[in-house]
Amino acid sequence: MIQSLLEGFGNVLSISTILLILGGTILGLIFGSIPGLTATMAVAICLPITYGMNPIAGMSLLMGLYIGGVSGGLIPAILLKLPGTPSSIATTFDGYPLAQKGEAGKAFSFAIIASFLGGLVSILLLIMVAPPLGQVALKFGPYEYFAIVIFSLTLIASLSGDSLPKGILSGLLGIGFAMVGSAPIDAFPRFTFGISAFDAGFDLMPVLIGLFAISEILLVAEKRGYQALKVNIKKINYKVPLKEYLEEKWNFVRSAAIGIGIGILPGIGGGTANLIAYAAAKNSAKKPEEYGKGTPGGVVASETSNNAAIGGALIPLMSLGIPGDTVTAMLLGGLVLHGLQPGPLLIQNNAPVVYGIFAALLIANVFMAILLFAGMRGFVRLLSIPQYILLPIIMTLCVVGAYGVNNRMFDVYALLFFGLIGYLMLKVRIPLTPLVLGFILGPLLETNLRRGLMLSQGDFMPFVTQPIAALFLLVTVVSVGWKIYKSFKAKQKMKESNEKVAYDN
Amino acid sequence: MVQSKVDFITGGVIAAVAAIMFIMTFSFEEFAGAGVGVGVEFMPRVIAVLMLITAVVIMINAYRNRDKQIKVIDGETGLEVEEEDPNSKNYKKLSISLGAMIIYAILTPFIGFLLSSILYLITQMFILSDNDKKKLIVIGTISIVMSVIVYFIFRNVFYVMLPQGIIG
Repeated sequence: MIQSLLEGFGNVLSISTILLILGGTILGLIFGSIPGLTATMAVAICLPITYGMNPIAGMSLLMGLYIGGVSGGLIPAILLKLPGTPSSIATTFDGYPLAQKGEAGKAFSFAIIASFLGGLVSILLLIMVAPPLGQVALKFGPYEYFAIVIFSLTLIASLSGDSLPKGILSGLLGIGFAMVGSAPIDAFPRFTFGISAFDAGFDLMPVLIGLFAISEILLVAEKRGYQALKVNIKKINYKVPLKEYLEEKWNFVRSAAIGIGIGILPGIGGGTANLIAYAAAKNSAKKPEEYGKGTPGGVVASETSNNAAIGGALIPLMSLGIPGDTVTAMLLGGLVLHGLQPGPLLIQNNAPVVYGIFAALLIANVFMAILLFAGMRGFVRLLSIPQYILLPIIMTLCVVGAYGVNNRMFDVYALLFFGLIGYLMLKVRIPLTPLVLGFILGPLLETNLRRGLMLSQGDFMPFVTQPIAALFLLVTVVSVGWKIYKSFKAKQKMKESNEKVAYDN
Repeated sequence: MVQSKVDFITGGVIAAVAAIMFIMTFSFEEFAGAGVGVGVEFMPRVIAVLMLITAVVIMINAYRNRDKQIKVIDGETGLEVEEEDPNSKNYKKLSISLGAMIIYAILTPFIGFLLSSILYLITQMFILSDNDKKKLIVIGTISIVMSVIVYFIFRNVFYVMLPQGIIG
């Protein structure tokens, strides 16, 4: 294996390929940092450019785009509270408060180091376990996936703030919106109101950009005198003592494991991983009340997990030909374009290309960290651009991003629709994040439920009797029960203190 | 408006949406005697019923808390939300912005991305800058330059075929 990897490096270490990786990483970072433009779009747009290249060079460029695209999202997440990509949603929760406290530099340091290490660990794991793990995942069927999706959905509970019903409602709305269009499996149109434009359903891109970017512009428009932050660039301190990094080591390990684990699961990627890792970090933190107010732990959890999801998502892609998220679906297309047959035989038949891809990932990961550190001061300058200039420009980029997904205006209208929905939800204080989780996971839930029922001839029993599925459902029940118990306890405590106040008066 | 009142109305609206959703599932097409397991209408019904239940729970909670000044905690940040000052609202600016966005989306296929973006950018920046006429020259310049840059980069470098409209 070591020898294969060295051969892989040998194949990648030519000036032109290195330049392609560097260019890909820079472009990926730019796409990742502009809200509305994502790694998926970067890969999709560059795919045609790689036609003329040899497979290793072409795939190297795409790997640079992937790493850069996932990592670039941390820049606007920290500076502008706008997730540049779905992978950085949770980075906004603590990164932005940190930046507002004047500690943008610190947030950057943590985010970049977490991204680099998360990516490194996951890529190394990918190189080591892709073949054997593929063998196990081969045995996963619809029952197991159904149970895993149910488990992921219940994490909504930890992301819903004070009101559990509102969080659940948001998640249900997400599942509902995902149902518009052709049904999974038999493709009958649902909730299309007879309009053919609705047949393909809502694309994730306009939903995300609309909810998180457009709603923000509308909120700013509503609030009078909302001005740009005046941050003195010279005063920002990027240095963080080693001790502070080390304090987050368990958080890092947990988030990396979550990122890799979720990345491996087909259909879910960095966009879900960062939210779940954030929730997990908050739940097991010594001071969970600091989360959301600007603690480095939140940034570490989010940025570690989203980069760790890269290696995770590539594991099923390389070993089985199953894409773990939208970007790897694009990469799958890239492999096919270059005449490589994805599937369990890929590593066996095309070892030089596969190990070349591994080497390219490691190199791109280093480029990413260097580029971000070197360009940090430039990124911080974004803060001094007044919001009245930046937000409308972001709007036009959102329109481009939404339109570019499928080259159709429908996605732009969907963008506005979800912008309005997001704004209304923020106004009545329904959290947005569970909606995203529901939107991504809903179709998976339904597909696997129906597939499982077809397999079992309509019998629901295998969902609870298959060991792996049963285990996940059990964990789900326990974690939900725990959450309800905890919130019940908290409510009682609040009641007691209220009564005491009443008595004292 | 008190949060509990907002919650009550929200719950009511969602309950109505869920009911409509449930009724709509009866008009779904399907194969006669479609395969085994559950059909296309199963999941939407489950979700609609769950939505209805959740909405009713939210309404009940809101009703029980109707007189109380409840603490509101932001779902994403876990921070306690300050009660907003009604005087800080600017619904006029909001509705003009929303209108500008809608007109932008409608106009784009007809007059092209470039022209519609310039018009939108100028309008939106002007509104957000609190109608500061002194900034109009800066705003106009930035709008035109940015629209041209975005349009040409995406058309010629990334091959996103943005609508050309009449200028094509």
